[in-house]
Amino acid sequence: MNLLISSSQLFQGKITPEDLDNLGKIEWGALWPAWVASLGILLILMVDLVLPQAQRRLLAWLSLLVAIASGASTFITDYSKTPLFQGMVAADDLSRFMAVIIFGTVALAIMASPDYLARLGIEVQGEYYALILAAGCGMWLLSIATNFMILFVALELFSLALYILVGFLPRSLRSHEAGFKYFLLSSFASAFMLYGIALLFGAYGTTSYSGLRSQLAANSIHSQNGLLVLIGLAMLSVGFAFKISAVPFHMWTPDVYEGAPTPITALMAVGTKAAIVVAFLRVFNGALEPIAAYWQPILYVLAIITMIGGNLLAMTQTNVKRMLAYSAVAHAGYILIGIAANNPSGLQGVLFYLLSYSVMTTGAFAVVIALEGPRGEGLEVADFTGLGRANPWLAAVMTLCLLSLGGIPPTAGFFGKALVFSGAVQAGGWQLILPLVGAVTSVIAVFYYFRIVVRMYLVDSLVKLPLARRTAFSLGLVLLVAGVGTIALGLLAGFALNWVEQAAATVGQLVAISK
Amino acid sequence: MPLEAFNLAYLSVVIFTIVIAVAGASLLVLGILFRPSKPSAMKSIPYESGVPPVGRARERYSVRFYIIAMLFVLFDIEAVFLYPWAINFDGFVRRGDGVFILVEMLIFIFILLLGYAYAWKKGALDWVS
Repeated sequence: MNLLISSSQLFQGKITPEDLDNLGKIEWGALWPAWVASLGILLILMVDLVLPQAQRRLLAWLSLLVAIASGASTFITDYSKTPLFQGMVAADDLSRFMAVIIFGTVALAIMASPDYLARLGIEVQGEYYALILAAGCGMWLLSIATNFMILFVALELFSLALYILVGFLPRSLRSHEAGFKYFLLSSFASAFMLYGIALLFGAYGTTSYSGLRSQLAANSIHSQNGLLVLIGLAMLSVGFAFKISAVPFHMWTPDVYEGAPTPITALMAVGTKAAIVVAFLRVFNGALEPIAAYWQPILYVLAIITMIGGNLLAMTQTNVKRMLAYSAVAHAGYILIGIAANNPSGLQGVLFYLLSYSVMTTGAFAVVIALEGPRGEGLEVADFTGLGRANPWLAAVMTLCLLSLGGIPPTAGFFGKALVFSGAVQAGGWQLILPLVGAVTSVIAVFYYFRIVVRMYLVDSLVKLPLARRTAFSLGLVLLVAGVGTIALGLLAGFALNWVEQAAATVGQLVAISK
Repeated sequence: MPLEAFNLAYLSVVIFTIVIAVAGASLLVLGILFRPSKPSAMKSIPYESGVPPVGRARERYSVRFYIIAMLFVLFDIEAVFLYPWAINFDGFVRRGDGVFILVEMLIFIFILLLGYAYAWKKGALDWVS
């Protein structure tokens, strides 16, 4: 099935009506969230031009509105469950699920920003919010891609926006360093991914997931093209492992997370990770499913060293932002368990994990944002001393989110871990090691999370000034959403599970369509 | 592809190359024949009135070049997209899709125009500021 119009046709004016008919219907309606976000970006940039500096705070509210509208528009979109735009993107329950997670995260990051930027003395500029929305749009497109071309374009779309956002703090050398480091390392990993895609294309002449899948199912890996496929698989694994910051490709994570403006760190820790994980699912559990026996061992090893490495490194950190960065690395390990399990409960576990991870991580970063000083101070574990008395609400949300990150019931984090582990248990065999390592490392994780909790409540000392600062209304709203979400996902996990089940089933449907 | 067909298909490229070479060489020769010869150090550098081609690698130049280059790429790409559009426009009109394809391109140009307005208003085009 070759639907492309060749460039010679295009440049010699030889496109026939038949070619256009072959291109098929263009299903504009399936991409509502992306259209809304894109129009919103243009609107914000234009409003930014005409608005006087004093009223630029309005831009934050405008962009928040756009983010919420983008997320909400996924519910008016009629997903026909088949790949659209000639199999370029999937319009299924997983796409809807991701629209909610990603634009929700984007909305929370936007809400956390105005107060933070004002405190750091940064003039509010339209491009900051426009870039956040562009990043969100790219992340969503990445998560719905069912063709390597879209995958790569979407990857670049949000990466380019994030490079700028990470280095956004004008007088902070650390932020500039983080931006540059992220740019260099991320482009390097993108190159790996692109080589992998090129080799897979070289083997079977297709960039579509379903095409690749049927080719892999039809041809033995021991055939002529097997070597190309395996090298391509290895390169794709490196690229993806880098992007979800699995050990040993995690080096960039702490530096970038620490240097970036904290709302952007939250966006990267949650939105980017969720998008990459779902792209990971669609590629590995979808397109490369026929050769699962070859990539599962890679993921076992990655998962084990990521869980151990991430948690051990997090234990030694004294900077909370850096500690949360290493904890994000460790959580990538838990998510990898579910992907490696390659069965329905593993996939459901991964999606539930993403949902719970996004609320609890956003909550933890929101508390950090509330405490961070104008020059990036107030981020040490010691700075949390006495927070329980100075600001009980902040301390309560932080405790809740840390409990959840540590996987203590009845919070959201517990169910995430339990579901992922049960996927691995169902897979059986060698995979039984994964939950075991997961359980042991969770105990290590509880140790370093509780160090902060102990500081907040048990250690008595003079309350420092930053702790007494009033929390802005919009940031308070973020804290409320994250706190309530963390509890609700734990206590009412059943409702979320139904949704997750539907979304996870569509990864399997991609499989069914290709057959 | 048989060898003869290959030769014919690329014959135009060969002719084109020859024409360019002859045109370039004849201009140089004409110059030598008719111009007065008064060489000086300044005149014999490869790019007259340009940046000295040899120098320290760590020389500084204005960061504004990068903004100009970026804007250039933007409109360069626009031209690249406009070209096949214009060539295929006739075919679309005959098919009865003339309005559709016109509106499509107007949307595209409008978006780029917004970008242009943004760059202008933000002062990216002012060299002295």
